[in-house]
Amino acid sequence: MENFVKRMPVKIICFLLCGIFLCTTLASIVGAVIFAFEGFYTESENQLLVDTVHGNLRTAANIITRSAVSGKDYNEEYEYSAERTNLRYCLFDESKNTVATNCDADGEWIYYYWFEIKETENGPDAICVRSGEVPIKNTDGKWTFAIRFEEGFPVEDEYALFSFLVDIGYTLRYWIYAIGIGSLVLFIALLVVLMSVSARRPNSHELHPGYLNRVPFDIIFVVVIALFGAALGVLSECNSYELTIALAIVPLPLAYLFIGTCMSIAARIKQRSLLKNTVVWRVCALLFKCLSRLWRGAVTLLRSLPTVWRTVILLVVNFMLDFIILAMMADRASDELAVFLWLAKATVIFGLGIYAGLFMRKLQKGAQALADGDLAYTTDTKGMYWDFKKHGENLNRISEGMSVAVEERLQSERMKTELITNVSHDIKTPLTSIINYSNLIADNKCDCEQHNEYSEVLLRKSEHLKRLLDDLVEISKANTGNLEIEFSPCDAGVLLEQASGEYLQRCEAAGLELITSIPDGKIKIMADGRRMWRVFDNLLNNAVKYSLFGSRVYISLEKNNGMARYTFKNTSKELLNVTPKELVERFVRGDSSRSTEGNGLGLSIAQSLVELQNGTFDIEIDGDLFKATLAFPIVE
Amino acid sequence: MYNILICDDDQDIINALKIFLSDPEYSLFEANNGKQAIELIEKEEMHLVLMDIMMPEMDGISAMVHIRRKNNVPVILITAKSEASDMILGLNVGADDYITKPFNPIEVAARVKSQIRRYTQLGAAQMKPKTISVGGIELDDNAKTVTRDGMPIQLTPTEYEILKLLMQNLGRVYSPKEIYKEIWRESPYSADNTVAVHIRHIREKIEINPAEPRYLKAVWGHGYVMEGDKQWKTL
Repeated sequence: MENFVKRMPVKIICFLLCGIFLCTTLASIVGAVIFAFEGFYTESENQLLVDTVHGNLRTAANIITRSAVSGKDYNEEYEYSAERTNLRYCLFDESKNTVATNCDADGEWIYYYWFEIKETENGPDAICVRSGEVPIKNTDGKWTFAIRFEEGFPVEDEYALFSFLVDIGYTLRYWIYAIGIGSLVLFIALLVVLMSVSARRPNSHELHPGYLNRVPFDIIFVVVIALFGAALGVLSECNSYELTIALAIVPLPLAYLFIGTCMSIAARIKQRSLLKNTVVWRVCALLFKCLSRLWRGAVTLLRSLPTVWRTVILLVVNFMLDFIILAMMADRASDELAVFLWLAKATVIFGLGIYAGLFMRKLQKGAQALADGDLAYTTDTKGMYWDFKKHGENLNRISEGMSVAVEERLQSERMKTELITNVSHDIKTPLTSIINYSNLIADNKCDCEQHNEYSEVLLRKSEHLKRLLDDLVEISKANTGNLEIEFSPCDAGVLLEQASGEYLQRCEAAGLELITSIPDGKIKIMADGRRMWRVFDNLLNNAVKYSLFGSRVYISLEKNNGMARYTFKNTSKELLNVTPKELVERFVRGDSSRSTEGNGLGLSIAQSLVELQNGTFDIEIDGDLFKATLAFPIVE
Repeated sequence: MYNILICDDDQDIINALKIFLSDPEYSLFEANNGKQAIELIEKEEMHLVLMDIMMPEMDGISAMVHIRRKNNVPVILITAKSEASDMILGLNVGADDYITKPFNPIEVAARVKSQIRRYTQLGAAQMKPKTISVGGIELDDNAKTVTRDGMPIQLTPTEYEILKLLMQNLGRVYSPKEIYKEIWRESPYSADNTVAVHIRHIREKIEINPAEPRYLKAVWGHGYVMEGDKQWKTL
């Protein structure tokens, strides 16, 4: 069915029928209106006929009555003989005597005229004073002219014609509604079908718009309106005869024009080109394109300029505006406009200033966060434009890049620690054997003195290697933050007391005097006790190893500005020809000979551990005096 | 005769251990991995197992779990110090002691001896009244004597009192001040490391390796505590 309707011949037939139905509909409407005005729905058929031919009847009544009254012979009288007209009449005088007739006086009359007889210079004359369908009772001084029509209208005269027409109209007066509604329905149905199949072809889902649809719609629209206007103009200029002909000819082409336009609109809507394919749209689009190109060009130009030049241009524009405003102010005629302009300019500058200040603040915050090491901070560039946006994005990129770098560094440090841990484990297994067997050799003393000496060196160095390995693992963990610190409130005095207790004997054995000084009262610090012991162990171990025989080792604790301050002091037996910084650097030792036992990691580990526990670690060297100061914040 | 199984993938270490543990009282067996160790334990009755953690085929921890299903033979783990987590795991699944690599021959011998003594004799020993025992340490308050694995230990009266105080209150941490007050019945002078020095001495006497105490431990920044049998395993 669908394909059937899409065929061209079917379309054409539909199109033709549609126009005809539109005309029928219009004609029906016009007819119904005319019928209503003419009284087809309120009066009887006879009355309608009488109304229609009223002029003729009145003429007939006048002629016959006046000739009868005056006795003059009107030439037309013969026209009203029964053979020549369908009109049947009878004229009665005052006393209801028949004066003139062309038929039997009996029968039903359908209309009456009443005349009064007056004397004039030319003798008596009759004047029609009244007419009507119903006979009046009081006919004093009045003559009555009654009429009716011959049954079947045997004579061909205007009465027969009008009777025929009125009869048709009367018969059609209700049918006209049915015809109008029916043709309207058919017209709408066909129009819908035509609009739906416009630009369609059988067996295809694609649109095939005709050539007409390529013409811009507004042109078509204007042409159609002009044609309608021209038609209306022609109609209004016609006389009634021409109008009848014109009304017969003009509506159909106009109907086809209308239907064609509707189909074109439907096709364009389907193509979504109703608005776009118009001259107005094309002109607007072109204009918009030009303007946007111009704008973009200007923006690109401005962007490509260095910031300084941009600022210069802005300032120059501002200056020019100022100049214009000043010039306008000088002129009385336009000073109000000048004030308005100045206010507008001030508002814009105010807004721009606030905008710039706001985003400067944002950027500053972002940069500050970066400077403070908060790499997770991202500057919100939402709402920023121009250089601000660029700057904000750069800041974000810096933070990203730095984050990545830091992450990479941490990763590599972790890998390093893992490597050191694994390698040290692998080294420890053979080292175990080395230590064990050098122990065995040392135990089996033989006579060869050199042999004993060598085995002792082996033993000592392998022990040294063992300590070195442990320290290596520890320092790498401490430096990469892979060491877990379990903070708990510790009694700083008890810590020092315990450490000094552990070392008292060893100091005495090394010929050193250990002097401990701890203040009264509890001093609490947040620290990991085991790590603290490791720090003290390293410091005291160094003191025992490197102090001058017979000297004193001072360890003390004191409260100072909310800090618990530990001090370790000893006198070196070797010359301290290094800086404190070099001392804590890995693998650097106080004595440059590197022959004695121990390694340079002790101080470095101590420093790392102290710093991991939020403390500070300082070393001072004053001549032979070695002094280490550790400070931790006191907690309540 | 006590049967001792030495289990390590390094033959040199086994040989060295064999020399250190050469004693007419010990009969030594060797295994190179966990599987061999389990097979040997099923064949022969062992009185002690020395086991390395890192071994091919079956590691020390898995072997431990396997052995503990039907046997309560003492097991000493030999491990590199860096593997702290492995060590704790081993102790938790039933090891009795541990030695860190590289080890001290004397320490190994002492720990072996201690474990064997406790395994073979302690259960049968009659508990005397007023005797406190922690692990291998026994304090007889009647005779005022202290023994470790049955060996008498010479302590000064002060050291004895301190040890008694801590042993009577296992697991309780005493600050140096508290210990001082309890023992000397008076307040200490400030900057007094007397208690710390005494503790150090006691430790040197009762611990096999004073640097790695098993019983008398320092809680740094707080004080000292005596830890009960196997309590130290949770570290």
